[in-house]
Amino acid sequence: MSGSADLIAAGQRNFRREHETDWQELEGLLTRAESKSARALSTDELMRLPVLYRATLSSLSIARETSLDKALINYLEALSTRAYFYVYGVRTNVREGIVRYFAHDWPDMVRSMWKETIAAFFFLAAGIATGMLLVRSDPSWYGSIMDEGLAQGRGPQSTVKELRDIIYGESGTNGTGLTFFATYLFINNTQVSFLCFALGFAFGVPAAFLLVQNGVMAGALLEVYFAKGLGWNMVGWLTIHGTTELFAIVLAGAAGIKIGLACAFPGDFGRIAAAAKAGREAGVVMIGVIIMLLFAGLLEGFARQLITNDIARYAIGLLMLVLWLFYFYRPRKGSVHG
Amino acid sequence: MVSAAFGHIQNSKFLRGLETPEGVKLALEIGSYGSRVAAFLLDWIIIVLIMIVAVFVIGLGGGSLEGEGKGDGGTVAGMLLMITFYVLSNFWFTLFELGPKGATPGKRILRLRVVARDGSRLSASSIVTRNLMRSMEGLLPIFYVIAQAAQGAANDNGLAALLSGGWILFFSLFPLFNRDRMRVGDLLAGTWVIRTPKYAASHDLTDRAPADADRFVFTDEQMSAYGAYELQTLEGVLRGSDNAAATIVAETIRNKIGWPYEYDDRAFLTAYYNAVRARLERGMLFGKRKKDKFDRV
Repeated sequence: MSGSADLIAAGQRNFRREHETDWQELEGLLTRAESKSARALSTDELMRLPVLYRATLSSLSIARETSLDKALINYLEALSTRAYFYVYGVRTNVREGIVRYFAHDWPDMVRSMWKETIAAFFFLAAGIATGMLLVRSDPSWYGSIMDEGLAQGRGPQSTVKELRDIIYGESGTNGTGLTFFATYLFINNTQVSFLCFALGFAFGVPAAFLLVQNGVMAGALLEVYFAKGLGWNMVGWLTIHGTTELFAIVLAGAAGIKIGLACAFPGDFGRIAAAAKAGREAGVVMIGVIIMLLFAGLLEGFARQLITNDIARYAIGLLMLVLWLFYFYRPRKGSVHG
Repeated sequence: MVSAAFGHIQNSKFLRGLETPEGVKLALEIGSYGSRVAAFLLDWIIIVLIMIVAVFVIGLGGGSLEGEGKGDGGTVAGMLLMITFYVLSNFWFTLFELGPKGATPGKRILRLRVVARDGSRLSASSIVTRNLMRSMEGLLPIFYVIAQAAQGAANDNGLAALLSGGWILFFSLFPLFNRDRMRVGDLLAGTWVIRTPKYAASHDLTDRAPADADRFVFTDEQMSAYGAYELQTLEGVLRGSDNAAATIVAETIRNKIGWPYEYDDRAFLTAYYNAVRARLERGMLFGKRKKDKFDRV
């Protein structure tokens, strides 16, 4: 072997020897940070991670230019990529992120979608009105509208007593039977709101349809009660959790419509870019929607079973509505209206 | 030329460059459709296994409640199962992808992860969006068919099954019709799924010169018979343990450079590798890259 060849091999060995410990340290830190969480690392180690990442990245640049050792380049490239996604991709301060989400991101995004929200509300309300009118004009509509599971045996043929029992949870069905039903309702309604959102991308049409369809079902059920003079009681039964739950469904529908509109009218962006932007913004709303639905589920599962007084039910339901409205739409410093 | 710079990626069709803020270009490889499907199935197998365990655990618990005279243990058990299934089917993917690995257990096993298409921070809203879309892409028609079957609706079952099948087929094949292998959920969330190859730290082959290296002296002509591409292929052979392959490669090289028969193929190959690599790397220092044996540098 010639002298210069030895010299180059020696240079490669030096390069490796000088930086290898950095690479190994980075690999070790990443493995620990990824398998547990950032908390598994000490403050010093967390500070060291970006430094090691940049050192490895620079090693990669050097290796690409000076070395033909494929195994080395592959190793450095994979390690750099992995470190990149940790350094630039992981939420480092989770608590701060959560605070910002509830203080700004979520309410701001909901407020910015007020047009879609009004549209979604209109679809749901129109559905409810349609359902009520259909069943009022001909009770036989009820059977074809209602989902059996949701009806829970209730229908135009039910007696006043049967209907009352379900609203107030007295006799007949025992407490846990109702809790089971509440769980079923909760899951069903969550699924409906997810679908409202997910179906939005087809220009928002299926999302609107789903809102109307579920409105019609609710309207048909309401009319059964109104026909027996139990309208006030039934609305109370719905209101206690319904203001939260229906609000969540309307917001999910609005998020879906937003995506649909972005696909239909991409504006200055390309269609895919516009859809991706709307999808991410709608996702911000949907995280909150999931939380609202959980909240509604708790109200439905517990508060409604414990509180059988109509006025208390209305009070809680309306209070929740006022709180949500205030939270989302109250004027804020620095916010731009329009 | 990109694929030459990023050696580990074989199929440049799925190669995407990512420029880091430090100005270094990293190569990302889009996860293949097959591995995505396999990861999805693996995740569902795990979910179903957890459900089976849950049925046993909660079922036994419900039975013991009944034993205590509450009388409605079965209902409580049913409710718990419903919630378990709900949480697993809706949030399994979301919760795992929120983690620092950006991947569900299935994706981890298949060495995949979710990242933002623009290389920025993968936001929670993106993960929620891409996974809520699953309910529309596949679960909706599946649940619909199950619900239909459960209700015993025989009259229009055929049509419903056909529509559901078409729906699932459309959305599950959707990734094949775009070059980035994105689901509808990826499209809307601004994400894609990439491979996370793992390479162990290796030694440098030039560290292991054969003991009698001095007997291999190659002429300049012999060393310039090959370029970087062939050298790295030879590296693969030397790092591997396939002796038959080593023999064939050694034979080919000897014929090409006119070297006499050699009893120790690996020693010959290592010596030749070291010589060619030193020559090519010296060229690189002077800005000359001999890409392969056809490259006249």
